[in-house]
This record gives sequence, structure tokens and C-alpha cells, in this order.
Amino acid sequence: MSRETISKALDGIADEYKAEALELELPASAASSGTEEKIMHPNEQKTKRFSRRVVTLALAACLILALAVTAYAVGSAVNSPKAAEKVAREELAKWKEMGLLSEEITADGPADKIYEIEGHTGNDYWYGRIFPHSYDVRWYMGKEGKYFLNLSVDTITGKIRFASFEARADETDVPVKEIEAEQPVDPENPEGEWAPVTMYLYDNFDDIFPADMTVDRFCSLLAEYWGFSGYTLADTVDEAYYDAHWSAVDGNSLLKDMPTDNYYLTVFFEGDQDGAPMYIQLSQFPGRVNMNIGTGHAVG
Amino acid sequence: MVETEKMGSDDLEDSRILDLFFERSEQAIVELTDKYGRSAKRTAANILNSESDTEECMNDTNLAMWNSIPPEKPDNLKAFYMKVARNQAVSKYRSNTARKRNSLYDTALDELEDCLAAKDDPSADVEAKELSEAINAFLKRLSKEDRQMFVCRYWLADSTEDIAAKLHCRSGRISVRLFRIREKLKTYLIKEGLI
Repeated sequence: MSRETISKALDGIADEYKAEALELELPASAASSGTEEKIMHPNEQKTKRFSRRVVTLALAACLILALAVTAYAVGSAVNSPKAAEKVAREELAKWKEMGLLSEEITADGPADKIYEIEGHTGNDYWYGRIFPHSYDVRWYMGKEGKYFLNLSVDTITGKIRFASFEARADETDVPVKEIEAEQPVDPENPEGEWAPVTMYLYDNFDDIFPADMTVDRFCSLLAEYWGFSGYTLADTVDEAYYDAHWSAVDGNSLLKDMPTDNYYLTVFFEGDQDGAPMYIQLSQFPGRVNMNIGTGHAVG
Repeated sequence: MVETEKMGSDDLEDSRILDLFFERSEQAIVELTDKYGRSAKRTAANILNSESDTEECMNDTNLAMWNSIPPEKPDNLKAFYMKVARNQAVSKYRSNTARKRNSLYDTALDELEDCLAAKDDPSADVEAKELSEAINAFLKRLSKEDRQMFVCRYWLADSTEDIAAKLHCRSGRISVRLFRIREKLKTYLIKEGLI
């Protein structure tokens, strides 16, 4: 398609859409000249990296000191469901600020459910450890919502230790796969007649995280958030979960391209006190996609 | 000379500016450029990437406004002015024989050209009108904010920084959203058989 055709086609954008765009005002303080993109001078980049490293080290030292001193004295940074919801929102905002998540993810309105999770084991293939004390803060998708969120907040550190996100596909998303299934004709009567139905799978993972996010970058950001010094991508060996013996994906690959069918990625973080692994899993369900990130122990 | 009235803020109301045009007062152009000239000039500059061409374009735009109002009496003066400015800029862009492809408009067209690359069959090239109709149908399905982003980028040729400033968010988010919108547009046009 020629540039000429595209240029002429853009001339024909409907007036109502042009007027909509013109509703937006550029603040007087906007720096962009409109004809040049800001390019950082290499020396400016080096200075910023050095400064950032010094600040990061200082903050890490303060964090370690603060946690060591206050862990028992405080008892918990999150000591009620209400506090858990507040912290969950704050940590969600941090993840977005760090670039871990798409900017579109929102926790709309008050949380739908908050569960207190206290000292019990979970399924082996996800946790296999004693749960720390945490609150699971959930926002449900409902019939028309875009997102489901489950943010599990560790009560000692106030950090997200497990997260599950689901994003409903938009009308403009194109299905990538059709699956045939059966479901009750009357949803209120599952014992009644069932009929075949076609369901559609989508790959709108960039509703959850940036489309250009690599596995390495995602794990680096999680390490940074949790205060670890690094990570290793490991093969997944899990006889309890589909007798898994799966190779780790290439760190340079895009996160959205990770297999979604009976697969999860195992990651070990460096500096973690007991070497417990963390998991990342992507799934496709009819009409929506899902990402789970989790570890079964206190982090930070 | 008609005395201007300042209603509340420093800018004159659009209806008063139109009155000045109808009264054939040159103050109309002064007031129009005071109120909307910055936006129009920025759009022209995005497309032309040349100070002298931009100035010339703005002069042509103001003359076109003077010659068209009356009889035109636009309901939305800003939109009308921006449309005239952009049309003037794009006309100049197309007629420049020695144009250098480094304006924001070029960057925007590059993005769409990469996204909408057609099959290697010249006879399969779609007409601009057909593409325009498809783009409008596609835009109808988007959220208002996504539509605004698309039109700011590909009609006004705004930089991602300017779009981010308008929408009060980070430019990184704009780049990602525009990438996704382009991908959706490509999918839509494939589905419609246009590419």
C-alpha cells in the first residue's frame, strides 16, 4: 500500500473523530518542539545510570535494615483486610510504574473479596511450602468488566508475593483458535440438556503486560521489586502437574510467546533465603487470557 | 475597527471571532491565531519539519480562513481551523520536490506503511477512499482515548511526547498503545480483505 494512498486515506478520517482529538490540549509547559524527539546525550545517560545505581544501593541497604529491625516489632505491615486492599493498590501501581504491567490494568472500585491466608500448605505443584500470612485481594471481572485481579499481599513485607491477572478480549481482538465444547443450554440448570458450542481463544496478553516484554526483562523487574540480586531460568520438573519435564524458555524471547498449553516457567531468584522457586504461567481461556506469577514464601 | 471584548479568560469566544470574520475585521485573524495558532502551527511543523515552510503554511492557512468565512460558518471553529492548517501543510508536503523524509509526519506514515504492507501485487492496491472508510469503521470500534491517540498521531502527526502530555501519561505508554492499535488495524484490514 503506497504512502500516497495512506496519506490520502488519513485525510478522510471522519470529522467527529478529528474533533474528538482536538478536544485534547497540549499543556503550555510541554517541552517537545513537535519536530524533534528528545535524545539523551551519552554522558547524560552514564550520569543517570551511576546516580541510579548509588540510589538503588542506598535504598536496598535501608530496606534490609528496616526489615530486620521492624519485622517482628511491627508484626505485620498489613494487619487488616482494609490495609491489605490499600497496599494491593499501591503495589499494583508500583508494578505499572516499573513497566511490569500494561498501563490499562486497573482495580476498579472496592475489592470484591479479601481472603486471609494463614499458615497452611497449598497444592504441591504451585507451592509445596507453608504459606506465610497473607491476604488475597480480588477484583472480579463480572459480566462486563475487562480485568480480574488477585493480588496476594505478604503481611510482613507488604509486597505482592503472588498475582493472578485475567484480561477479557476486546471486540476488535481476533481469535487465534476455535475450540469445540459443550455447555448447559440453561446455565442455571447444569443437570439439564447440554449442547455443542464454539468457543474462541485469544492472545491479548498485551492487555496484561507490554507486548515487547521479554522473559529476561520481566524476571529482572520482578527481582528488582522483590529485592533479589538476580535470577536463573530453570527447567520445570513437576511430576504432580502433568508429569512436567519442560525446558526453560529463552530469556530473550517475548513473554507473550511463552507456551500457554500445560506449561509454566520456573525461576530461581538469587538471594532468596530458601531457594524456593517462583513460577510464571500464561493461559488462554475462552474469551480471555490469564497470567499467574507466584512464590509460596515471604519475599524481600 | 470593532472593539474586542474579553469574556472571562483572555481568549475571545469563538462566536465573537466568527462575528469579526463576518464583519470583515482583520482583528478576526489576530484573535484566531491568538487562540488556536499555537496548535495549528505545531501541526504544520510536525508535517513540514521546516521553519520557513511552516510560516508560509500558516500564512496560507490564515488567508484560506479569511476567504472561506463567510460563507462558511463552522460549528467548531478550532476543528475547522486545524483542518485547513493540516490540509495546507500536507499539500505543501506533497508538492515539495526536494523533501527530506524526517518530519514527524514521515515517521507516522512510516509506521502505518510498515503495518499495512500489502501483498506484492500492484493490482491489489486499495483505493484511498476505500481505506478511509475502513479506517473510520475501525476507529468506531475503539475506545475514545485510543481513537484520540490514533488521530493525534496519524492525522495531526503529533509526537508521542505531545500525545502523552495531552493525555497526562507517559510517552512509553503511548508507543505501546499505538503499536497495539496498529496491529489491530492490520488484523481488521486483513479480515476485510483490504490487505
